[in-house]
Amino acid sequence: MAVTIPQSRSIDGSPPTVRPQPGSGPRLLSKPERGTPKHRYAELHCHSSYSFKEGASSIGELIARAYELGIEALAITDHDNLCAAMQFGRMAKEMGIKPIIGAEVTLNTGRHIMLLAENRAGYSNISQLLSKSHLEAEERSEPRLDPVYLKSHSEGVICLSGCRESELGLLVDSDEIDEARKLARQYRDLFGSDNYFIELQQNLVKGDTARNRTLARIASEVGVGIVATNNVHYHVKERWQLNDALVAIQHNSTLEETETERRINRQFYMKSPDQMATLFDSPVFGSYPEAIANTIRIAERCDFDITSDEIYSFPRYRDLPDGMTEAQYLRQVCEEAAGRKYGGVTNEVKDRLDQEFRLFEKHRLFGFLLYYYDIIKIAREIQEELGLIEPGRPLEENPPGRGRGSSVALLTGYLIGLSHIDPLKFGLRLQRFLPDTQDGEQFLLPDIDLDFPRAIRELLILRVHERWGYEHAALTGMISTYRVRGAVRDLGKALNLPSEDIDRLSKSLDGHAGIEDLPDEILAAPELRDRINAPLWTDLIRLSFELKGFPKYLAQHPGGMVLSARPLSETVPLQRSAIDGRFICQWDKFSAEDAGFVKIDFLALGALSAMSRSVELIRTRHEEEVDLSRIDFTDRKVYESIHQADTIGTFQIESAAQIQTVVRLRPENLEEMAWEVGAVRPGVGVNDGVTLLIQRHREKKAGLPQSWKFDHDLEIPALGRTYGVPLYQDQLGELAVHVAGMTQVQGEQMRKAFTRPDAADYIKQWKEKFLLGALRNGVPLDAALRIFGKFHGLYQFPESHAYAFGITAFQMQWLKVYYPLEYYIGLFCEQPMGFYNLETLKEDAKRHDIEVLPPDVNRSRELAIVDDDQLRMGFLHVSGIKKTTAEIVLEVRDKFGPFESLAQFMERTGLKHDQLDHLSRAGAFDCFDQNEFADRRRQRWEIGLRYRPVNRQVALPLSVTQDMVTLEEENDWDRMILQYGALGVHPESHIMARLRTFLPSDVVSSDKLNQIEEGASVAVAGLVIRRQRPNAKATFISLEDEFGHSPLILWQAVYKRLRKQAQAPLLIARGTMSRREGTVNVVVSELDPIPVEDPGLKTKDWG
Amino acid sequence: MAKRAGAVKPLNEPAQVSVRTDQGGLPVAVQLVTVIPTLSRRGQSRPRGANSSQSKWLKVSQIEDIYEVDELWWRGKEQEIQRLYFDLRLDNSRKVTVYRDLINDIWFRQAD
Repeated sequence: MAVTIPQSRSIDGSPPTVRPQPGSGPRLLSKPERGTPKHRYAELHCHSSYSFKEGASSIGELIARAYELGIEALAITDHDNLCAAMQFGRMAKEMGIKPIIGAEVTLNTGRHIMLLAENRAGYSNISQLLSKSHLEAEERSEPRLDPVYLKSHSEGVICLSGCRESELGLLVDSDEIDEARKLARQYRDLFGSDNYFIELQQNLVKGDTARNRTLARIASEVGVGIVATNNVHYHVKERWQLNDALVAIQHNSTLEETETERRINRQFYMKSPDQMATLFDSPVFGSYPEAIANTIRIAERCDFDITSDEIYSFPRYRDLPDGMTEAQYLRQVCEEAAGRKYGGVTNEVKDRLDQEFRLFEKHRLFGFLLYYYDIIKIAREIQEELGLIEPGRPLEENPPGRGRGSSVALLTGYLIGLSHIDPLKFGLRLQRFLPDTQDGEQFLLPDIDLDFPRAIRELLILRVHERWGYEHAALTGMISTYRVRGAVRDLGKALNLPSEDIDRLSKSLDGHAGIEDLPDEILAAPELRDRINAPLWTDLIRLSFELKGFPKYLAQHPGGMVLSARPLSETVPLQRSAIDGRFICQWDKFSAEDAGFVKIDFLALGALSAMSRSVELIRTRHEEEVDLSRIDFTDRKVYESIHQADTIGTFQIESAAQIQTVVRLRPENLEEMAWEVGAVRPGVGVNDGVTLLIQRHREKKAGLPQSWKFDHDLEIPALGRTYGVPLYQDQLGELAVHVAGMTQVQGEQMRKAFTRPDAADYIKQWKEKFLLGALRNGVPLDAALRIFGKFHGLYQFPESHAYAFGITAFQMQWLKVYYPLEYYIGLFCEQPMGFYNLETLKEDAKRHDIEVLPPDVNRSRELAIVDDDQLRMGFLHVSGIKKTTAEIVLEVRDKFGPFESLAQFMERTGLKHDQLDHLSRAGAFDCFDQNEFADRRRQRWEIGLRYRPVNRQVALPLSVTQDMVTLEEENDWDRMILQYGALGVHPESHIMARLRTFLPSDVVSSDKLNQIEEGASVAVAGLVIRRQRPNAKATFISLEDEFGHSPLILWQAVYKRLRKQAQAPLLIARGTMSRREGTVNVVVSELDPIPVEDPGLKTKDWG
Repeated sequence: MAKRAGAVKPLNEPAQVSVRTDQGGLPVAVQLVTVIPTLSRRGQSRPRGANSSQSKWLKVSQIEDIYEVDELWWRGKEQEIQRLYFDLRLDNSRKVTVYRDLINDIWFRQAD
């Protein structure tokens, strides 16, 4: 017999498998030995983890396994998407495996067919068919293709009949052979007899053998070929359990309850060519050598290379004025703006524009920039509609958005309203955005990121869709991936573990926990400790390791849009976003970048919204026009407030880590503001960059001799301006240029290689190139190695981005210094934003002599307003009060005048009981009480007496005095807790003021910290307002009391020991005082939760 | 698995069976056991233990299909199912289905 069973326990004769790796992100595993099978075979039906919640191996794992098994060509055929197509094409090519792009498409019958791209036209057709299946489906999450489209999109497509659940397979299984034959003929006629193949699968599923026999006969009768496929769902057999678990997750159910949905056995792993040849040439399973041979024939026909075939072209601008070229029109727009900005086209402006236009010409970017110009004009229209600017102002004045990222370096951008920064004034370099490439060198245009106030951004995305249609402007996709909490929750449910245990475990995992921390987390929880080796819990841990990094679903990028001249669906499938009116493409930013897409990021920046609101308020309240681009950027008063860490609420300089840096760095100009903004990034912490920068800067300011040296003088052009510290990402690319002699493009490619999810496969070759180049430039090997060690994959800002944010931070702080009331109103109105909750902002406002008043039904509006020179909170700050409710209250008040009593309010507004209750807790009815402290308990009693549900009779404002009882007076604590619950703020006081008398005698208040000596023991107490871990070494916790903040530092080992205590909302911290370069911190050795009721204030941790 | 009180008694439970295999592990002969009831004078069956049985090795003339079932792995080794089924045509033209329990390496006959 041909089929033999080796000593192992299975029929499939599988060779030793690669060990499953913990985590299965999209990385390529280290290259294994290539298999040398006796037979030739291409796998044409293979699902990756991008068959969301089904495929149980990553692209990298599948490719590496295919290579190891000696499979010549591999098709990734995920369900209804091409999300992984670009990544797969690139990685497979690098591994020496022919990539075939395809998809398993769901028809409107719910059945599947397989489509493979034979050539560029075929790829485009598949992409368009997938777009139709998504865009025309009734349910957004259930793509369905009407087969009527197949005929018009069959060119270049090879169709395989599909799996055992296909239309054809099911007809055969139900013995409807005539119907099956008819269907096969239909597909043959649609695609042509050479392009339609009947798929035979042998996964040792009962019925496969008989079905294959019938399918082969039908193929012969209708004159089409047969092809063997393995319907691969995981790269090695060991992953079958993950596949089972994913299917259970997909059905939002448990393993026990998904017997019919899960695969019947573990035979859906990738098999070797010899295994496949055996399965398809056997006395038991039947002899179909032709089916194996056809895999190679099909693979040889598929010659579409997604990585090198030009699938995208830059947009060309269509709305040019008569007789003008793109270049002429753009130049005209720039020169007109230069006249307004610089008083004319100065020599400096002309030179810079000439330089930029030469590069635009070279990279064919005129159309692209004119599209941007249009986008900014649309944003200006919206800005005017929203009343955020008076109509008719030139575009470059108070532009509706502001650039961030390297594009800020473009003078053209400044002149067409893309950016608010004058690149000439700040000496911003063009190279990072627009490198001067050498002949034939590939140019990768960086993204252009634009920040907008939220209201503008929301409308802008819709208007851009409207203006160009989703076929030419769509949002970039974003792949949401499994992290530890999601993995624990989903797998816990699939395994049917007690939901309270899973809940407890996932809540104990803080924002920084990784899958690898899971066993420790279970051991650390007393209630869960004994489960660590229990059945199902061991499965949970193992499967979580395997699931780490897996894609969960395709989401929309926060604001990345791609623009295209030709319809986008020809290049990448489009689908509807979860938000109505938005459309996304199936590629994430990495794939979009690989395809060379022009991507624009429209980002919403709360800080801009807040500033815009403040400026408008200044205009109406003081009749002053504040142009933030023209304020004095050398203002001492503003810098001094920054040095004093009076920066709560201010963009980019308010977190504990940012405050630590800003106090030590003491910026005195915009360049140093950019340093500060750039410094607090993970990539700068590498090699202790922040400390070095500050030390060297202080040394220079103090006039001390330089105590440090560059690793080599060739570093100076790149790192000289930041004391040898690579502060900005551009500087890494510059290092490659100056030290290793690379081109600007190569330098940028090298820097980016470190940031890719599959970086390990690139770094080796870049290291070799870098070292060779450095040695050639005379850099000694040890210095070259040290310089190479400065490259990493962690995030850093581009220099111009840091400038853009540094300027925004300064502008915001300027508002805080000169217009504090308007500043806080901006912040209160634009929540959620920033690092702190409203209670902390209230305390900060108080320190600036601004009283925060609770909502008042007779004075408040929807959001915060000025009320008698103080800040009055709005209705929307009250939990449970939505915009429509606030509108009802305002409408009634405007119509009938102020409310005279609670009874009248209830009668006129008809609000629900919960809403009335929350308004009372928040203090909104205090105006009806004559006492200094309103009796809110009495108010709620009255609400209870008067309230009638909607379908009952309307409450009349009759007296309820007879039903009022004498209630015990509400104590301050209860009043505070209830107000925190309803409003998140307790305007009268602070929780620590209420607790002060109960604290141990050694606890000092935050305002006394300054008086404590370095190294002295100290105890502080407070409300936790933020937890932050900017690097692995230290965790920062900020405590707040009625006087201010106490910054805590917990070194790694201490945090590990005190992690559970650190989760408490109120803490007493003991430790030693640390004073360093103007900063004050408590280095914690002990933490004790304060045992009182949780005020329930949410903290914005770990961001 | 312990039977629950009141649970429905499963019919056609698989019965352990002896199977001879070739070097590749494929069945070549199956020992079928035939129970011969011994009748009393009144034609009634006697108590169970009183029946006799006859076993006979029958050669496999054809393996008609092979399929695998892997299930319930999350319930632990005692309840996990890993079975390789064989639809066999025996020398006497009779069709039987046997499976190899891959966890305990024991053969069972799937009752008709």
